[in-house]
Amino acid sequence: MNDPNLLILASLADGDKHGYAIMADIKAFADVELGPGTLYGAITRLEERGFIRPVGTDDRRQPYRLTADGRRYLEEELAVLQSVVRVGFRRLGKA
Amino acid sequence: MKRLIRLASWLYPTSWRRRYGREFEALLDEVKPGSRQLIDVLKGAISMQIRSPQSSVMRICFRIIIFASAGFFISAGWGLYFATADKAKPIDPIVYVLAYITEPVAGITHTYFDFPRGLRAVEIENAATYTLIGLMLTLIRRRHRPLQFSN
Repeated sequence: MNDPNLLILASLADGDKHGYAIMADIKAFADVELGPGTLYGAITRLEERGFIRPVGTDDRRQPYRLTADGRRYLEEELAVLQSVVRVGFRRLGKA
Repeated sequence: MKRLIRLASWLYPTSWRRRYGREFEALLDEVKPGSRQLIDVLKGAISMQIRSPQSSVMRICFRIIIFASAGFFISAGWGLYFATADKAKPIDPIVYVLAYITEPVAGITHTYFDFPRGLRAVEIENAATYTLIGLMLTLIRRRHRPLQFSN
């Protein structure tokens, strides 16, 4: 699982985070190291699609928040993933 | 390395830097600098340039560079192949056909004109031919389908 869009949405699901905090969180829960270019490419796309939005701050580090659309999209994608995982394990005889 | 990564971040489109530049630099200050980070930032910059609405000229330049490089390296490849081919064995005609197709100007001049020149000249000539083909294809594409800027 290394889709940066989904990883960022999953990271923001438990609260606002800035770029570096998102990177560290993704490394912790998915063991995926997103580079700064990949992270901000995905942040740009997610913001354009209205799935995340910047939160007001005076800091140079800009925190982002999951929007309602983002949450819905994440839930849909995770449901698909869950189904794939379930079927995969069943077919491997490990369910 | 940190300085190189910062320089690479300047390759992002102006509009993107205006929106994300400050926070991106804050992130670059925090990440451990390395060649992986540099490559990632360069990839991000290319990707954003391609997506940027201001970059139609850049996209065309990028395509032209790709076509010219393809022409150059194909020619260099044939040069290497013919230079290292076993002289005792005859070369299969299909090889000549392929060389003729992929190096059309060199093929025509070799067949119909007595115009000997070095490998470097043929490489440049083939790069120019491919560039011309690339330009024509780009113009045809633009005529029939407007360029799309978003993913």
